[in-house]
Amino acid sequence: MKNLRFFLIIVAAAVLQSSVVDYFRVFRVSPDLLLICVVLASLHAGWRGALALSFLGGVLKDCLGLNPAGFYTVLFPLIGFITVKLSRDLAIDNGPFGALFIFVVAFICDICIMISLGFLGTVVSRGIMFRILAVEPLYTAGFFLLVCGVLKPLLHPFSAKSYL
Amino acid sequence: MLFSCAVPSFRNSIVQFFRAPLGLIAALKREFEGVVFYHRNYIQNRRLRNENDLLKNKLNESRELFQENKRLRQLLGIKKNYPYKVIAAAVIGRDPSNWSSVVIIDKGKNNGVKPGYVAVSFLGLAGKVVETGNSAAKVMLVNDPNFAVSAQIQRTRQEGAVFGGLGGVLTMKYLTKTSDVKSGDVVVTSGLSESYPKGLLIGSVVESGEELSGLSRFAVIKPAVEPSNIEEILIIIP
Repeated sequence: MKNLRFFLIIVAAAVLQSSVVDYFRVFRVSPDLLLICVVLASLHAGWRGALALSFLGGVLKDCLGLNPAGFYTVLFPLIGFITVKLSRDLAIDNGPFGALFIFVVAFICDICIMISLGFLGTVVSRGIMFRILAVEPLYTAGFFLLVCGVLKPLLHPFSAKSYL
Repeated sequence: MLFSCAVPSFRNSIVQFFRAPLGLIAALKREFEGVVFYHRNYIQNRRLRNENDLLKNKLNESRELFQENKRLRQLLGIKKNYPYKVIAAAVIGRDPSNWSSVVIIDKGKNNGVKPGYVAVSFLGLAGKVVETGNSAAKVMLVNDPNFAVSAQIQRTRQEGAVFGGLGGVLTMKYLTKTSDVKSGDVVVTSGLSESYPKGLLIGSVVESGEELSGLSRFAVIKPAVEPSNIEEILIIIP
C-alpha cells in the first residue's frame, strides 16, 4: 500500500517536473522534484521498494528528457541504495539533515552529468556549468523542505494531526 | 546498452503515456495565467492591436514587393520557392533536467511529424524534432548544447555555424578572421544544413570577438525565439 502511494507520488512528480516546476526556475535552473521524491521513497519504502521506486524515477526522468540515455536509470537506484544504507546510521529523514543530504546528492548527480556530457563531446560553457552546479543543489535542498511539508500528511496519513 | 537506450520505443510510449496529464496541466496553466495576469494581458492586447495595424500596412507594402519580385523572377527564369507546409503544435511539457533544453509537443507520428523536421515559431527558428511518439514528440530547442545549424549573417552573407549552450544566447562560430560582423546584424539559416530551409531567422548579433586560437571569429547571438517562453511551435513538413 505504502509502495503504491510512493509509485503514484513519483509518477505525479514526473508530470509536475515536466510542467509546473518550470514556473519555479531561478537563474534558468529548476529544482529536481523527482530526486526529492526518490530519496523520500527510499527512506520509507524499504530495500526492495527503494530500489524499484528509484528505478522507476530514473526511467521516467530519462524518458521525458534527452540526457545521455539510461543515465538516471542507473544513477537513481544507486541513490536509493545509498539512501537506505545511510538512513540506518544517520537521521536524514528530518528537515535540515535531509536537506543537506539532498544537497550533496544533487551536487554529485550534477558532477556525474557534467562528466558524462564531457565524454559525449557536448560543449557547455563553464559559466553555465558552474551556475547549474551552484544553484541546482541549493535550490533542490530548499525545495526538499517544502515538499516534505506537503507530503508529510500523505506519508503518515494516520498521524497527520501531529504535524499541524 | 542501457535499458532506456536499448528500447527507444519504450521511451516514446512513456512520453505517450504522459501526454494526457501534461496536456491537461498545460491547459490549466494557460487558463490560470489568463486569470492571474488579466491586467497585463489587457495592456499587451492593446499594444499588440496597434502593432498589428502597423504590420498590416507593412504587409501590404511587402505584397507589392512580392508581386514585383515574382514578375522579375519570371523575367529571369528563376525557379519559384514554394512556401513551407507547417503543422501547429502546443508545448505540453519540458525536459525535467537542467542539462538539456527540450520541449514535448502534442503532435506526433499520427500528425505526420518525424525526427529531423525543423521547428519554428512565428518569430524564427525554434529547434528540431528529435523523437516522435504516436501523438507526442520531443523538440530540441536552439539553446540545447547538442544543437547546431549552419547559418549566415544576413547583411554580409558570411557563413558560420550556430551552436546552443543552455544559456539565453547562442554562439556563432567559424566566421572567417576578416569577417565583418556588427552588433545588431541579423543571423539566418544558410540552407547548407540539409534539413533547415534557407533564410529562417535565428537571431541578432549582440557582440563579436576573435577566437582564442586567433584563426577565426565568433559572434554571440540573441535568439529571436526565447526558448524558455515558447508555448506554440510550427513544424515544417519538407
